[in-house]
Amino acid sequence: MSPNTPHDDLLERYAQAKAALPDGLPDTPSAALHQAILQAARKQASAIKSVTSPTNSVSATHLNSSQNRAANQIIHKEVANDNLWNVKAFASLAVMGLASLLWYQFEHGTPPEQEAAKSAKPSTIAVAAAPAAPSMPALETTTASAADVSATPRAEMSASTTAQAPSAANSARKEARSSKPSEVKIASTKDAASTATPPTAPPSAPSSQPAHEEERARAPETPPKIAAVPAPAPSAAATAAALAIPPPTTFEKASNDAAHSSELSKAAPSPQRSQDMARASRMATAPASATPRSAPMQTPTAAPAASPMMRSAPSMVTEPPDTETRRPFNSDQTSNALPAPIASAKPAAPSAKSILLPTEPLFAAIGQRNAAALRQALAQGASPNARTREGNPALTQAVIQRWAEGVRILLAADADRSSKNSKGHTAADVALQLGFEDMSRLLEAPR
Amino acid sequence: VTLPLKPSDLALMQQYAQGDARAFEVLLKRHETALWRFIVKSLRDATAAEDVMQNTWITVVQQAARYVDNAANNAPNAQFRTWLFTLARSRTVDYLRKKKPEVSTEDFVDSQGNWLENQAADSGLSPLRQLEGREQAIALLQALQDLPDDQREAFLLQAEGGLSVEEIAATAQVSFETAKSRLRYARHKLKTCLAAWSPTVPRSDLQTTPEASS
Repeated sequence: MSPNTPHDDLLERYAQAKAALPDGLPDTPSAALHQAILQAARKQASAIKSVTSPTNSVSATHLNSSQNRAANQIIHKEVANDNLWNVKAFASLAVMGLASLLWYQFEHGTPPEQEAAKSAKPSTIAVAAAPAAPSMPALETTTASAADVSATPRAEMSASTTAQAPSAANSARKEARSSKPSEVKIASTKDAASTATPPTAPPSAPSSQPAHEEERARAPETPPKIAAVPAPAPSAAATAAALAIPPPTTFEKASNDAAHSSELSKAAPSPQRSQDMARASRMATAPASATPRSAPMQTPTAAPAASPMMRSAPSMVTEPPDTETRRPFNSDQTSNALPAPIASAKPAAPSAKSILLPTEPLFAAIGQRNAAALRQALAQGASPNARTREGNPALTQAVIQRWAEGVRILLAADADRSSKNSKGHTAADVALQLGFEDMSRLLEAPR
Repeated sequence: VTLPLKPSDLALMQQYAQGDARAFEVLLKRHETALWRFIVKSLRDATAAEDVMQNTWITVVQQAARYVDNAANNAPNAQFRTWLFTLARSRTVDYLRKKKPEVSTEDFVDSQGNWLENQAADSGLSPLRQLEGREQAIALLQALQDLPDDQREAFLLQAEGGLSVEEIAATAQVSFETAKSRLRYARHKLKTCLAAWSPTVPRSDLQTTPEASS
């Protein structure tokens, strides 16, 4: 009976009965049982000590099996208590996989898909498209984007500078609308330089740049004022040396940064940097135009190839425009501008992606069934026999879109009727498979 | 580790959960006898009682950390004892379900008859007195065995384990009123049995119903 139990006559009689009539059952546990229990308790205690001790915590794996089991109960206690651990781990993997899939689809998707993906981020593309290309129907967009770009750092600049910014941007837009493309180009460049903006340092002019890219960049250049510019402009360093001014280090920095245009397109430049770049631009243009430094912007020229600032317009100054290789500029096509996504996706200074996929506009036009855009893409040099990543020729793509006009345009551009897709089917075959007999007739070989 | 003069069960468990085996020794010594008696009286089988006893304490050893975590916030002093007897009771019930003991008082008396006679002869009591005491003990133990299981369990928890009504309720996992009722019925039956053999039991106590006597 417990000492806490109050005196109870019944319990006392019960104790007497037990004593008077023992049942042969031991009143206390045996010593062996006592020791067995104590031994188990000590073993567990030693396991606990070895695990909780900081010096021995690592040696938990060396415990014997029973100790190890006891130790594991403690070691994994927190994890074991987290019932969602497996779910969290699986969810993390799923998110990573999904992100990878999206990235893969974006990188390896068809041009229309990539155009669609790009159109979802017009601002980024507008920033990336630094120099304007007059031949592009996106002239206005590009000019505006340059103004927008200049507005971005201005927001961080002083109030006085900010007050000037909108007017400059507006004037650029107005000029772009009213002037000829070439003038617009120059004006926009001037404006960009005068407002000290180009936050997106235009990509540097690497020697490894593909020839067709240079050609495309030159194509929009129009001679009037550019042709009057004297030939090779000295480099920025030489110019600075002639002026006894140390070469601006910001040039180098900008040049290096220009190599990473994609990064620049995301990062807004600091006002100081923009001012430095504008100053560098003025210095570089001054000797070339043989005008005082005080009026550098009157000369719409540009700059040394090494100068990233100058690539917005003027790298062509050093090389007279090759009118033979340049495709004629069609103002009608310009007026028939592409939809915003396509227009904005046509950077005058093409990004690495557009270098890899020069036929993007072509397939984008097919995807959108835009005849003007298709003609323009062909006019800009896109091959009528270009293929998608899946191996579908442009003709087949047009058939898939059931776009007879596109087929006619492509055929007029000497598209190969016999080109086959990855499955060995010509565009006519695909048209038959899809039941587009009109397309099939169009694609029949001329007799 | 220096233990206080009489540390609480919870304090001992906390120390043991940190690896102090000495604290467990104190706990074992404090509760093992009462627990053993409850188990062995419930099972009436020493071997089975040893199994249940060992199993109960091993469970205490394995669940020490969890018990400390759960009891840290709301730990009455008797909570460990309640938990300990709950473990023992559940194992006892499991054992009885598997093997219902067929032990009758007659068998018990017969098996111990010779020894009891010797004990009575050695006690120096008169044969009548010895017979009366023996019959009383037999009657009481017989009445205890005839009790329903829940009532016998409640009585054994009180008589052998020294648990209060609250602790019995917690151990048997029933409400306080249920435990109190079980204990009251058990005690009333045992007192009725004893009244026939002893005038010390007040008649008024025997004639009242369990509900009224509470």
